[in-house]
Amino acid sequence: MNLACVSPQPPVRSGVADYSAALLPYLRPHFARLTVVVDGYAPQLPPGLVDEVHDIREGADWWRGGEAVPLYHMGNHIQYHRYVYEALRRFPGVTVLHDGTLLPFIHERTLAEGQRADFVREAGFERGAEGLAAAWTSLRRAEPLDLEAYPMLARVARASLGVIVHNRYLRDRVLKTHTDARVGIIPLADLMPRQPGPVRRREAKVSLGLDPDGLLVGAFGFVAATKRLDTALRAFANIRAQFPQAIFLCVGEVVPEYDFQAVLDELVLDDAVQVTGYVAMEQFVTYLRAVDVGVNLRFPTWGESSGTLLRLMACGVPTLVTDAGGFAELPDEAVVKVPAEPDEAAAIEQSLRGLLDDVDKRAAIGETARTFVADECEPAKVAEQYSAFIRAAVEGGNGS
Amino acid sequence: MDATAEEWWRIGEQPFRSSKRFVGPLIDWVRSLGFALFSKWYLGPLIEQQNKVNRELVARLEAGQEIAVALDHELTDLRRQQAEVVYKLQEQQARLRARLDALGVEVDAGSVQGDTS
Repeated sequence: MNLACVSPQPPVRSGVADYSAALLPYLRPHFARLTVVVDGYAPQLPPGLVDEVHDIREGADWWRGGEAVPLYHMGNHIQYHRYVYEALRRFPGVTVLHDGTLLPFIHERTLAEGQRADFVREAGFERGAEGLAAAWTSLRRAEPLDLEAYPMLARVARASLGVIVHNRYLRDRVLKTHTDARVGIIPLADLMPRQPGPVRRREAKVSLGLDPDGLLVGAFGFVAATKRLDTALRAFANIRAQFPQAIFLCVGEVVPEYDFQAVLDELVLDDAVQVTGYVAMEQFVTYLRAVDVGVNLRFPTWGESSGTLLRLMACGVPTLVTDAGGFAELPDEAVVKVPAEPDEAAAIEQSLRGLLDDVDKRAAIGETARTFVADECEPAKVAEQYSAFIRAAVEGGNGS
Repeated sequence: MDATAEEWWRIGEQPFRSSKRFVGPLIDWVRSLGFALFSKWYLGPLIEQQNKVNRELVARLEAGQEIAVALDHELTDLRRQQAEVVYKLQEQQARLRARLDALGVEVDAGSVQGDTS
């Protein structure tokens, strides 16, 4: 069987691109021929890894009458996933769903471009007559559709031979929109570069020019309102006097629509908070290995996957997660779960204090996390599951 | 019908609203009286008639949209089913080719053609 991976790839700055590219070497042995389909750039992939790179702008002949089964990686970024969405409608394949709602994507694809009819069509596809009526009402009142009621997953679910998700929460959301969908849960693969022996935090801190004895709390990836960093930083500010040597690191870019600076100005944490902006993957990994406590909150959450959480866990970092969506399904001993509002702030403060204060607790949770990832998310094992699911989807079996 | 039961398509009498200061309310009263005496008996049935037309048009447009959605679902299902058949044929063809190769038979292998576009 041949596989065509239709997904953003590096140098595109996206978690999906990184994930898709990192999984390719593990998928390679399972398929006779591997093609990568991109949108208007040359992907940065190891030489010889793929048999062919096809630019979608040069036409749709990458499908070649079904010689390759497409594997789509679908996310919410309009610029990176527009061609993926269009291709999966025309050339059905297996879709890896990275987000639990595509409504923001659909908004960008339709209303942001003045395509009202397309917006109505999408809402109608999702929920029939009710969706049509809701879309017209939304347009008339200039109010957005309800995110919970309109995840806009039905088209992906119906058009695909199979849908791969990373947690039960998202599987249930997909099945709610299209009960006949073939959905498989395959864990997110651990794609951290292998490092022999235990993680050497002190060395990592020194290499970043940080105090090796200082405590580091780290949040990774895009800085956005849904990451709850304002609440986490307030909690951090409250315990700062107890841990004066602690630093809160935000490793990633601040999204343009989020005024993170206003949060920092209000809390006056000075040098206790550092925002790195975008860093290259190699440095990102060093930061992951340096932190003592991770913060990976997400609310609201719709079942989206978090590659950075998996990386933190792989590095043995005890990490705070929101007890919601797919994160709630992680083993209680492998992460520290904090409830979403209204008790979120107090819970974060208590959890942060407990972790920063107790090195043994940090080590125990970190080790459980590392073992969990090593057992469940081994990339070769994950790729095997991908291969089995794709074959079962093509042959019409269950495969999940 | 609109899930919110909002009958946006319904037309009706509009209140008179004069922008004149001080005498505005008086003007509105005179206009209302004149409308009630001389126009309402004629415009009322016309408005009702127009509402019937609007209701019917909206119902037909909604039916048209629902048909379009059903066709969209059907097209999506057909494309998926067609793709499933095409991939299965490709797999069978590959297996056959492998067996023929093993038997040392040379064939002019044409690929299975299909297009769901």
